[in-house]
Amino acid sequence: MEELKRTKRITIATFSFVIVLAIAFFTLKKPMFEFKTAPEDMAFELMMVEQVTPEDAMMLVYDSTVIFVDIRNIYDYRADHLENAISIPTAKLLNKENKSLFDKWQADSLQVVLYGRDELQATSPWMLLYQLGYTNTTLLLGGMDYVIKLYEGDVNDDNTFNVEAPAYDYAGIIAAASSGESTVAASQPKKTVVVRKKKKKAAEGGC
Amino acid sequence: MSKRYIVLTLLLVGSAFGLTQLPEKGPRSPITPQELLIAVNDQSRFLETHFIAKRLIERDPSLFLIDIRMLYEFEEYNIPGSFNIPLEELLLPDWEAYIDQDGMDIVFYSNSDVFADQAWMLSKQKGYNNLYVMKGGLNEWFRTIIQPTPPDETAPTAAFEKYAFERAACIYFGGASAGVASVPIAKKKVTVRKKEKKAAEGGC
Repeated sequence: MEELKRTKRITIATFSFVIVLAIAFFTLKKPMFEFKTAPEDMAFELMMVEQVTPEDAMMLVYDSTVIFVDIRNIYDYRADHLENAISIPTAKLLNKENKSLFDKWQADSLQVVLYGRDELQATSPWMLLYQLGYTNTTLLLGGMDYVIKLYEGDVNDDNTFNVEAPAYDYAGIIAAASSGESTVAASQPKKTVVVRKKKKKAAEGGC
Repeated sequence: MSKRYIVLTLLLVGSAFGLTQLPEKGPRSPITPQELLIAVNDQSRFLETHFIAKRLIERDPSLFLIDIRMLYEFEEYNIPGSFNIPLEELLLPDWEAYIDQDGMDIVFYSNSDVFADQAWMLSKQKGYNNLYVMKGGLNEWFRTIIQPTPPDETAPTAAFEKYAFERAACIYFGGASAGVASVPIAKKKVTVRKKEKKAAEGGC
């Protein structure tokens, strides 16, 4: 009798344990997005990923394995955009419908190229997507502004899309300034006004 | 009786096996991707060079400038009072205490603002507060503070006031010697009246 009671209790305990597990398992909600790359790893990935240069982009626009995504706002997109580019403004980047697009492109192993007004605008959205596991994503160096310049033939130095290159000789300028040289365009020499003293009159009077 | 025990054991082993099939979790992050996207869209993280120059001149103790370029670039030139942490070393545990400071405004800068924004992005994911990026980076710093260009003659007064500040900041940060860079101020004319000479009185 005692033995039977104990078995009963064990059975009930086991079943309730399994039921709790089953409920937990089925109500488990998987978040829509999860970071796949930790920021520590991303610091190194930043150096490894090869981004798309504006010159390459001119060719890749007609490549069917490359998708261009315009992350600027819809007005900028309507005004001017790359051929065949798809508009996904940054704020809507993680929407459900856009997630399915990114998933689809990744499954089809297409290369996705994000571009913004300039490189800065696309950098953080690109990092976000890359860290969420969309490693087929790259960004367009120089951005739309540079592509327009390139298109209009307004480019003389072919490396100007690299905004991180120093535009000034920092150390040189400071060294020149501290040695007393003027780094600022010298102001026009002042006209010297010669003031003539009036001649003293000879003392008058006297006898 | 023993049969029942076997069934129960199998049940428990089965559920234990079920637990191993749970989806793998990615790296833990104090911020969700959606929250990060909202932060990305917020442009208030970009600080103007004028604002930073002003705070540096006022010796604001709550400002902490981090230069994320390479060490040799930092040694060549850096903004006075800044600290060097190269981007790839940013998240090493050695530097955590420097970036994770609640009472300080951490401002990243590089030659431009792209790398600095990457640094912002990485540290934001660690859940640190008060992170900013210097807009335009060192290139903008030189364009506005070290080598400011005078506004057009028809520009509003505010532009001239800004330029006067830029020139003063330029001297402060060593972009020019005071003699050359000082804003030309019209000299006050001091007119000295000569005493009229009295006609010499004659005497004999």
